[in-house]
Amino acid sequence: MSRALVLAGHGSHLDPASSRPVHDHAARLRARGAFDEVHVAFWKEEPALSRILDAVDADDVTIVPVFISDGYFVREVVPREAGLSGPVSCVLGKLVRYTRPVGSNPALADVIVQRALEAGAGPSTGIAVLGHGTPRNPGSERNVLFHTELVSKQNRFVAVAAVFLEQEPDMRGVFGLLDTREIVMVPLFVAEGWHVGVSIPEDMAIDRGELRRGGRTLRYSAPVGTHPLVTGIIEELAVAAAAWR
Amino acid sequence: MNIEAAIAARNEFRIGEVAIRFEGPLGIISGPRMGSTGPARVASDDLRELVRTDDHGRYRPLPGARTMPGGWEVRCHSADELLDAIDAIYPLALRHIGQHERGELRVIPLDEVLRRQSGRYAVAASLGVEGRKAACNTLCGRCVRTPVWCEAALPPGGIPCPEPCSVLVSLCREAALWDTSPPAPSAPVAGLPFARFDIPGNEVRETYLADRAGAPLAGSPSLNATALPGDDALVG
Repeated sequence: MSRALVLAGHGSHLDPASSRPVHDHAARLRARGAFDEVHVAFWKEEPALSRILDAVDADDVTIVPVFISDGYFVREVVPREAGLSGPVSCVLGKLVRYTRPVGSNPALADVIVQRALEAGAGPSTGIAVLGHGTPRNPGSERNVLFHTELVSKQNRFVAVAAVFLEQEPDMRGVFGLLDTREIVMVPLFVAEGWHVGVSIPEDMAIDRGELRRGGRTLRYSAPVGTHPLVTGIIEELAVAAAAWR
Repeated sequence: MNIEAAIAARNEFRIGEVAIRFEGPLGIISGPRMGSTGPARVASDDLRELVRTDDHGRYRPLPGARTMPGGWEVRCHSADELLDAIDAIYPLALRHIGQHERGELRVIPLDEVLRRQSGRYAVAASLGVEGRKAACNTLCGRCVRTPVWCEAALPPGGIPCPEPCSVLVSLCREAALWDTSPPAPSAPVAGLPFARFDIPGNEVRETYLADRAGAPLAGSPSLNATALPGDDALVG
């Protein structure tokens, strides 16, 4: 029986960068060849989540949500649009498995560490893991706090803290939250989209990836979701789901 | 038009705004508005990114929008590469053409799509039939796909659209809000983001508002020959 993998992403009507990492991960997974078919589908772009099975020939399909938060989109929007009833569904005559989101996988903490190291972090650097967060959904922060704790437990950096775009602790208070001379802020986002590329640097007054304040320096890393290591996390989630019936 | 048969027979054909022809072992896709200086050659791997923006660098969230950048061609070395390239330009179009030809296309009407929305899009379901008709005319008239979900007749060589897209849902959301608090019309401003319907001057927004007010919009893009949807198709 042939097997298909579908990467489900958010996409955007406004920002072409939003879906790029999902396409990039899909291209790498096609090259690896573990699945007979690899497709992408989006909430806000084409191909749409609601039509993705139109593209699939295989009868055995695994959908991996390429989202950080295990919240509204992962629990409500993607299942509804794709016609899923749970982790294992029968949709249009196909067996469809639906995994947990990329953001729930513990291996993502290693990608945060990699992004911090790439931005020049050392043992004396404070690491700020930047999540979106929202006061409208208390579950939104869960994976950010989860990975912050995992990174902290690795004991590679003197201090690790979570900060947020839309909830407390606010990212703009990062210099008060971490007392290290050097800080690396790692955006726990899927894409280098409008938030990571525009709104956060503007709100934080980050200039060319760096912010200096009173003899202290904050460096702003690339987002976690664009790292090639995330491709392996997606594959791991999909392969682990293969035994579900 | 059976596209796979056309490719196998190496017959030239058009799909949406692009043309396909064959030269020796190559299948060549050409974009619109080929100038006299010759087309820019684009690798098939780069095609998806190329068609993400129009000639003015403006993002095209609706792949079927009649704003395809012009003056390029892609040379494909196999039928599979050609099919993948067309799918990068118009996602799922070939699948939907084939399913329509075989009578297997799953068609989902606007009412069903709006009813299943939640969160900030739940309000879209409150848009009345005239608003839905105006939204469809305004947006679908800018797209190469034919909205068979509103019972529009598919012309020969057309691409069927089996289900209202997220951009139309987004327009219906804004339109439902405008119904309760109608905004003043503004002159269209070229270059505003295509899907920022909340910004006065957005071309789609102003065309919709003029349609609802029964007034022609000076300088608006002409609509295509998409058949007007019937009321039944819009309310389910």
